[in-house]
Amino acid sequence: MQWLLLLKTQLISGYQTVATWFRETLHNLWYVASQSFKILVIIIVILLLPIWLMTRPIDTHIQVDLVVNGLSFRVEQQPLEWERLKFHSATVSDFQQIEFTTLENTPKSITSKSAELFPTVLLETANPTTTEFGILQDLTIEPPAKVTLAVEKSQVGRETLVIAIEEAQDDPAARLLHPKAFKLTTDQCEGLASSPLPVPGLPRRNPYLTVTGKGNALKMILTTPTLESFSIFQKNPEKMLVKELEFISEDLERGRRVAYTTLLTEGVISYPEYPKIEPVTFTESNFVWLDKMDNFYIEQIGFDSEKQGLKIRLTGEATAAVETYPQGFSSQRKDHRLTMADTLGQGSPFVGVMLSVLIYIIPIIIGLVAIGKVEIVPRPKPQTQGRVTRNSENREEE
Amino acid sequence: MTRLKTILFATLLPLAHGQAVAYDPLLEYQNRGDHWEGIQPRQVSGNLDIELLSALVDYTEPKPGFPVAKLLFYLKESAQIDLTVRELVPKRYYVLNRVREKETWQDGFNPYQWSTAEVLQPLKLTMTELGVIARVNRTPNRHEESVAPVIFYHSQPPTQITGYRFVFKVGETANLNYAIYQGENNPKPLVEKPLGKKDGGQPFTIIWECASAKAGEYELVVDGYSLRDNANLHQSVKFDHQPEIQGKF
Repeated sequence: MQWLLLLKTQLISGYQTVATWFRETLHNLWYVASQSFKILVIIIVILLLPIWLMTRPIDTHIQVDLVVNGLSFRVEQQPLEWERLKFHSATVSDFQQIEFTTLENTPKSITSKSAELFPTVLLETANPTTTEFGILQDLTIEPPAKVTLAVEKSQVGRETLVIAIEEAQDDPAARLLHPKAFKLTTDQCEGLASSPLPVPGLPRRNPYLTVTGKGNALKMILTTPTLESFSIFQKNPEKMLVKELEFISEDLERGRRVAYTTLLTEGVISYPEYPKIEPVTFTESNFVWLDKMDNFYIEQIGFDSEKQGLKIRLTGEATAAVETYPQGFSSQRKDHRLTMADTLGQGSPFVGVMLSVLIYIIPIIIGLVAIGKVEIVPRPKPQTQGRVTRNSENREEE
Repeated sequence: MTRLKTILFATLLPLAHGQAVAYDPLLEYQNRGDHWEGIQPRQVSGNLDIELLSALVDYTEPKPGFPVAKLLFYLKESAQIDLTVRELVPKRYYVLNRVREKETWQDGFNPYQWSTAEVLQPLKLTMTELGVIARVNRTPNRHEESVAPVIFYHSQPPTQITGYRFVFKVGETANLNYAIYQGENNPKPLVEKPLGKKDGGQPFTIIWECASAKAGEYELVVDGYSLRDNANLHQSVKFDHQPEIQGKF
């Protein structure tokens, strides 16, 4: 029976100890809470700047892959040279003059009347086939010209490529190679005895029509002969540097200008320097905004026959926001530049793991040191001489 | 950049050449007085058109060695010249250009020479591996070239020009023809021949024997169509023919 008494004594003693601990803890709750809160504030203050720095978007090397039915950009640094573009018909507007030499070696010149009359020249291949067509070549666009490209369906259901050059330093010039027979139809132009004028072909020594723009601009609408994919600009080893990239088309709705996205399929933004970071995808209903001042290289641009649009690959350093948002929801803008937190440790697994560990360890260490060493909240002064803890003080009060 | 060049030099050169050439920074493309010369790797442009690689007078000296390379070309009137010497088939990526930039060359026969000891000899390049083009008042229109055919020699130039050697290449396989016209607007060619199928990227030569041709303006037209997409190809090269070489060089 003695062991029962001993057990009872032990239980009572344990209960009293636990009760005392709870009583003391409750009594010190305000002290503990205020101590913890102040430590938390200190940790937040210390980490605020690093967290802000780690989570703000940084200059990011991005690659953008899009399929659009239109885009515009401004040429920077190096002139853009066109790839050979085949056409069955070409409508030329915003031009000053079209010159060619007949088979009889007679020079011909078609000049446009006033721009207010919207003069145009339509050149159509006489027997459009897969072997008979014209070729747009020798079109060089010098900086800082603005270029607009658009793919549209013609009235006969064929794809047309709209090329508009504006704000060029000089009047742009292009040459159309057309050795086979064609027909010229002019509207508000001078120089041809009759319109339409059948032309049996151009001489072998000079099988070109030279088109000169007007008012630093030139516009051509080409009907492509085949549905195959083709490249638009010559592949330049140093790539093509452009800025002011826009992927919008504008229309008038009830007298107001309304912008539409030109995306035809899902777009992708990827990060070539960080291949482990998942590329961002966004649906074709999104607007894509690249900063006007950012320079991007056009790595690839061409007509995609499958998607019936212009397939573009851009690369460059985004120094300002790269935003997408669904059409009509501008409040849902997302900046797709990376943050330092995204990029840290991407190059080295060791650095990645180390940073992950440190992110947790540093606040814990700060907290522990603060709890153990720093008296942030002034502790109650001891009533007796020597070192008296708050617990012993409480016991004395009891 | 220097490191990149070194790597390019060290890797590309022996592979392409088939025999190692020790790296020497002195062989890099650089200013060498009145011209720039050296190794300058160039990337493929992707150009699908017909490209002129060389426009030379058809003349070969019997001795192959050449301590000094000499050029001689005729100009009807003074003009600015864009002179380029490069390999017909790039193996060592040799190039010489920017010769007497901003200078106007005089009418008549113009000589130019440079030492082969600095670059050509260390690279073990021979004259037959090189193409030369002297473009006259170069225009941005690359489909209509105006050139002064060059006599490329090392000891003694010929006294008469009896033929020309034009080297071209086409970006993709094509069926080609050529014709040579005299005068500015003459529609009837002096010579007209088919070249047949030419493979993309492979140089081909057109030789014109002109012993009986009169002095004056001529135009070589190379045209045809791509075998891939039937797209028409057209390249014209205008030049002045002066059969008698006047002066001592």
